[in-house]
Amino acid sequence: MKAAFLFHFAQLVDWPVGVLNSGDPSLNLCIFDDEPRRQELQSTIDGKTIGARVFHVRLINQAQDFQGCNILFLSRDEARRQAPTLKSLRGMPVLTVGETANFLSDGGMIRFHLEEDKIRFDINLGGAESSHLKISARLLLLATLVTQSGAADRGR
Amino acid sequence: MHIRDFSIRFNLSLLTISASVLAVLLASLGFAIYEWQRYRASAVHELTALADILGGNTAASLAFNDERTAQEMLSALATEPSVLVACLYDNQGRVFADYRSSGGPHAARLPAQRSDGAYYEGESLTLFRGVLLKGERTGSIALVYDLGGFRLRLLEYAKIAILVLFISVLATFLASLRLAHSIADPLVQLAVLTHRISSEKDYSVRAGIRSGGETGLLVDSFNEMLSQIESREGALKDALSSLQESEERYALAARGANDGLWDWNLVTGEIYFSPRWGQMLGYAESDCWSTPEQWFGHIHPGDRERVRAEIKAHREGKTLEFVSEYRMRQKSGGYIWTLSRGIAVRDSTGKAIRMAGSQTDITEGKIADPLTRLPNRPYFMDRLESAIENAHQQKWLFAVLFVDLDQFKQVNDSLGHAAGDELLIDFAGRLRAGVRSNSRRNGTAESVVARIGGDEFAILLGHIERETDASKVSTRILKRLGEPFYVDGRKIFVSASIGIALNSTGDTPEELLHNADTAMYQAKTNGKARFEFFNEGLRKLVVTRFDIETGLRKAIDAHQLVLYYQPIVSASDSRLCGLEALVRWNHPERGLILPGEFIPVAEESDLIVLLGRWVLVEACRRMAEWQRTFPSGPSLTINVNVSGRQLSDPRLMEDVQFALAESGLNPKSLALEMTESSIMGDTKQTLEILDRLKAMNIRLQIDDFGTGYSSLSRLQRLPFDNLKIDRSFIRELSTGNSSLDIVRAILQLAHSLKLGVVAEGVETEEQFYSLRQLGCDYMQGFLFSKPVDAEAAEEFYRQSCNGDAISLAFAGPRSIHVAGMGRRAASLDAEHL
Repeated sequence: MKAAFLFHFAQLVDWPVGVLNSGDPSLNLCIFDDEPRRQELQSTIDGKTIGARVFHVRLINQAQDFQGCNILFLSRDEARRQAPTLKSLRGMPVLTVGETANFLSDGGMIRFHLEEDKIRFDINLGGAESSHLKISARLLLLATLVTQSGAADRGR
Repeated sequence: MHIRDFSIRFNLSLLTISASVLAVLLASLGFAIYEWQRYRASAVHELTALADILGGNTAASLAFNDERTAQEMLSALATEPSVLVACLYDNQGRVFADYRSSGGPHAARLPAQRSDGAYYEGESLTLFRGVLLKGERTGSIALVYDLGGFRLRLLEYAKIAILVLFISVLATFLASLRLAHSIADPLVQLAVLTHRISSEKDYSVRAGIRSGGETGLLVDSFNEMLSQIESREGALKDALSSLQESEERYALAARGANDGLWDWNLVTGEIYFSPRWGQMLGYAESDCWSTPEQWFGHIHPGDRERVRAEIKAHREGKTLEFVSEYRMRQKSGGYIWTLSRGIAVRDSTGKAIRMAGSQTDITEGKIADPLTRLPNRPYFMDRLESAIENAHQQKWLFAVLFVDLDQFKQVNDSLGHAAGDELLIDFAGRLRAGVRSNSRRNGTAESVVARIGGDEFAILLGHIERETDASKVSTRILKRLGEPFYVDGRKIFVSASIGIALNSTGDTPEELLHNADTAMYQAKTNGKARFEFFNEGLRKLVVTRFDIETGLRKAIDAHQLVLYYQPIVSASDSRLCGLEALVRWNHPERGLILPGEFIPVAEESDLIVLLGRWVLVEACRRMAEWQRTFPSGPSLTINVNVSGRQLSDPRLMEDVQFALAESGLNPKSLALEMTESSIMGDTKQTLEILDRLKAMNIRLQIDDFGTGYSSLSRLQRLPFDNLKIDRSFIRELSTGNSSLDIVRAILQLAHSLKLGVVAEGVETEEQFYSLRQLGCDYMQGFLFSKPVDAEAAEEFYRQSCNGDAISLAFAGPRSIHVAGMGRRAASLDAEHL
């Protein structure tokens, strides 16, 4: 389910000019290779297209290896790598999506959470803006919580 | 009611108004349909836009399964009242979110998902449309749109349309009025004009309507037609009047000619007869004839087939013209003679298809005696026959008058035929005037005056009331004849004898005419210048005459005839100087019959010749015998009467010679007496006979002198010895009128011509003395003796031998001396002549 969300996020987020228009039509979702839901993600969204772009799931093994990533999903299982990863990605045009409670405060951009058994998400608009990602208003509308910066900034 | 029964105006108005109403309705309908389409199109358009907006807004909600947001977004439709229902479906077709309009029906269902597109259902439009997120379909949306709003709009439109309709109807009505006027008015005017023309027959009027286009053309054509009619009417009138004129001329000519006209259509068999035709036959104009059979039915049966054949011959082209003379029966039953002429008109094949001609009454020429213009005998008999028929049917009385001129023969003989003709013409005119003959064409009770013989006329008095009507007519005629006639420059008097037979006395025309003739004869016998009715007595007389005629022939052979002798004495001394032989018929049944009864009968046939011969021979024989008996007696003459008929008989001379030769009598002793009229006939032949008789030394004597018209010069040339004055003059001597002068004049005349004069019928002494004084030579009469039989005559002879005079019968105190009066004449049989 979260995989579909990820795909939709990609649809509603605009990357800065030059990041995605380098002749390579692929739009890469990077996950760590030890990610337990790697299989599920790959089967669900790999090869799907968004306009002229082709969605690819890319496996990375360390934090320095973010070259070519457009979206980075950090599952709950990668909590130990969360903070450093987000830190190193700050200012970089990579949409970061996570699940942990402090994901946004750690500098992440979109965070899943469950609300009445339904997957909902919050958005850290300031993090995205600082990374020059433009998040569609339609996406913002659906977010449970939109913060300007970090976790402290809650509300719509 | 059919539409063409209405006026043009009404129809035009109806038409234009209907057209405008139809136009407005069609326009409105078209407009409505167009509006409906547009409304729907715009609804679809609007909905599509709305769906796209909603889809755009809810695409992410679908993607992120955010029903709540989707629901919120759909609820924004509350601002769109026309959208009744909205529904979001996910890619699995499940309803994801929905919206129902608060104003819409509560029962509005959510439509089941269908493929994209617009669907109409009732008054609603349902639009399905996909929801896309960056080209990725995340679901679909359905919007149900209420089209009911269009009804309101339609109502608005309808209001406008009705207003437009009203205005347009009003406008077209007004326009149509004008149009109808401009079209119908000229037509109505033309119709009125036509009606006026047809009723007034005034073709000089013209339609004055100013109009263009077809109506103008119509008006012009109408006027042109009127002009043609007018000129044709004029020409027709001229032709008609000239035709009428010529017809009138012809009718006038036909009437003038008194001709009847007929015109027979041989194809249809119809035939026209002009009124004059019927008139000719005594029919009124109302007795209309129309078939040829009526024509032929009136033709005399004796002529009918001939006329048919003649018509047929002409129809077949065998004759150039049909000309026929035939008799036609008049209404009264009588016949008229007609001359019919006709000519056939033939078609191209030569077949006669029509025949026409004239019929002229030629009865006049056919039946009239050319001299007197009176109808002739055949016509008279014809009329008589139909009179008998009519009288038989109607129980009518009519009379036939037989009129005979008493003195015609004398006039004709003495003054010539021209004078006789002149007399007949005048006489005929007087008869006609006397009868005041009704026109023979007028009615049934007609009178006809006809000339049926030389001096014989017959009158048919049709339908008289009584016998005296016939008497009146006869009297009138006789009175008219009393006026003198002027013939050959002379004034003469003639009379006529009329016999009347009523139709009750006979059944056939011949019988009736014969009866009238008999009555006429009786009138003559009774003294002429009178009329007699035929009656049973006359019939007996007729029978008697017949008996006489037949009996007389036998009588001669049977020696029933005897001679009586009447003495003729010398006036100076009353001595016997001759005996006149007079014949008597000693009838075995009726006794002695006087000559007056049978001589006229004998004169009508050749019996008189036989009779005369017998008398001549017997008289000569007796006288010769007496002369031998008394050889010393005086030389007496025997006087024998010779009738006119004997005189014209070529054997007279032989008879005389025979009588003289057989008796041996000296011709000097024979004296032949002949009446004035009998010697007036054929002068030359008579003179020759008289001369030859005279040459035989026979004495000749004129009998009954004074009754004829002998002229002096004629007397002079005839070889007569004596002249016997008619007894009528002698009888009247004593009555003291002019008779004495006449007798004196005759005596002077006779003596100057060296003729001896005998007076007959001397009955009184007065006459005797008068005559002797006047110088009369001889006398005979009852004063001396009536005719006596041979025995008594012989006694007279014997006495005369002794020189005795004949005694006077009525010797009175003043009686003269009569010597030797032996026997009284009165003792003789009192026979009257």
